[in-house]
Amino acid sequence: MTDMVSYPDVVQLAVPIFIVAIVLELSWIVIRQRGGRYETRDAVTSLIMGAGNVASGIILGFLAWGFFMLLWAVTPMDLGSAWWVVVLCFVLDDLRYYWVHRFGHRIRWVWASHVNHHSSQHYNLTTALRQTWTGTFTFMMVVRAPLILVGFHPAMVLFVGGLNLIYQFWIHTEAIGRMPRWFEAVMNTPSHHRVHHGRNPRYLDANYAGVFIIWDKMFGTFVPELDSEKPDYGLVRNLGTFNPIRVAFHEWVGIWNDITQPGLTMYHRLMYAVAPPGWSHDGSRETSKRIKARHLTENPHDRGTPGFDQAGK
Amino acid sequence: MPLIVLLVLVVGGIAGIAVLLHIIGLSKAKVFDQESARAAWLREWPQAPVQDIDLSQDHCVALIQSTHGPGLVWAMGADSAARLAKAVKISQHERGLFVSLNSFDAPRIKANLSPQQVNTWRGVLMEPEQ
Ligand SMILES: [Zn+2]
Ligand SMILES: [Zn+2]
Repeated sequence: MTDMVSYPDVVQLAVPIFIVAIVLELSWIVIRQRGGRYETRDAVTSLIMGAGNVASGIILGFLAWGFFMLLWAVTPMDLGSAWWVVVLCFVLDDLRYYWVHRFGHRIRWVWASHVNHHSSQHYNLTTALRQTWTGTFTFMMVVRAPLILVGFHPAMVLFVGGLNLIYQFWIHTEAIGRMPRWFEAVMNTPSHHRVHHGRNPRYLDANYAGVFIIWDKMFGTFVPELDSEKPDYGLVRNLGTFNPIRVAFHEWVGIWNDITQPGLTMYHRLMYAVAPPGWSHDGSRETSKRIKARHLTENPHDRGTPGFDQAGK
Repeated sequence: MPLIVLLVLVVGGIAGIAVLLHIIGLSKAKVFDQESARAAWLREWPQAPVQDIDLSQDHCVALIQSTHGPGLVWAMGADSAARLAKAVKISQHERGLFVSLNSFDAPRIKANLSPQQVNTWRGVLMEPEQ
């Protein structure tokens, strides 16, 4: 199509809102003495990661854009730009987000990029902005290909993807307990996403949703936040640095070190890149599955409760 | 949005929030006692029970002796990190030791130690064959 479809870069436009909201959340926490925690270096690292994410989008965004425009050139489909098409695109793109996010936790190559977002031991609005610099290298833009091939314009796809990220900003807070029941049932909320950031065995690999929590309920990855178990935020093995460069690249370095160690088969080397995080050729590390299994050996009464199935996974 | 406006917003926003956090006293490092050092260790290494704990002079670092060998717990801002100490490099500063962990995501820890601790930590952390 020749008609120019033009959408604003909503993430850049939202920057002033992000700053104001962070100051408001911080004020709330300081005045009320509850509802979350802030620490200077942690917050600054998160914010620098966010800035770097925008910068990497400006620098490397043309790669994904070129790929999308290529698809747009070959597809005979064009759904136009009516409002209901944008809404449909938003919903389908959220399904796309669910799967990219799920791959991000289950394939180490994609995790190497997404791990950044989970590397803070805090959970506040700055954590939302702790975003990857290396998303382009995961090649997860291919998951957007079906949307463009069925006729959603690439600009629309990127626009709704930006809206999705903005939605997820406000849910990174401990200042909000629970939303109304109907809202918690359909939408991703602070409560659901706190679970996603928890390193507790119970909460690992749960709640991948972007905007609609229904995807997790549909695909069996939903775990509710239990009042009896507060999420412990961060990574299974927390970082010992605030250096943004190290935060951004540490898992890529880890993959490199693992696949280049001597004496491995080609299969082992491949698995160090694509197996779930924690996989090792000699079983010396723990995957989330093994962490859950170990937890159940030590706490058999948790078997069959949220986050743990009966079989002991 | 023009790039220059975005740049000013981002740099100004980060700097402003950093100064604000620091002024209201949220830059304090975590300090450990025996119990919290043990908890910080077990939070990351539940499968390696603690046999002995020695706190640095400022209580920001702890040398852990576990069933899986020696390790360190240290303050990461208001939180903690914990690593087994395998193949570490040690160098001295005027008030204690630097421990380099040979790890891209946990490069170097500065521990303020008494002269006596410098010797014991060296003994525990250096591998026997070195
Ligand atoms: Zn995630
Ligand atoms: Zn998040």
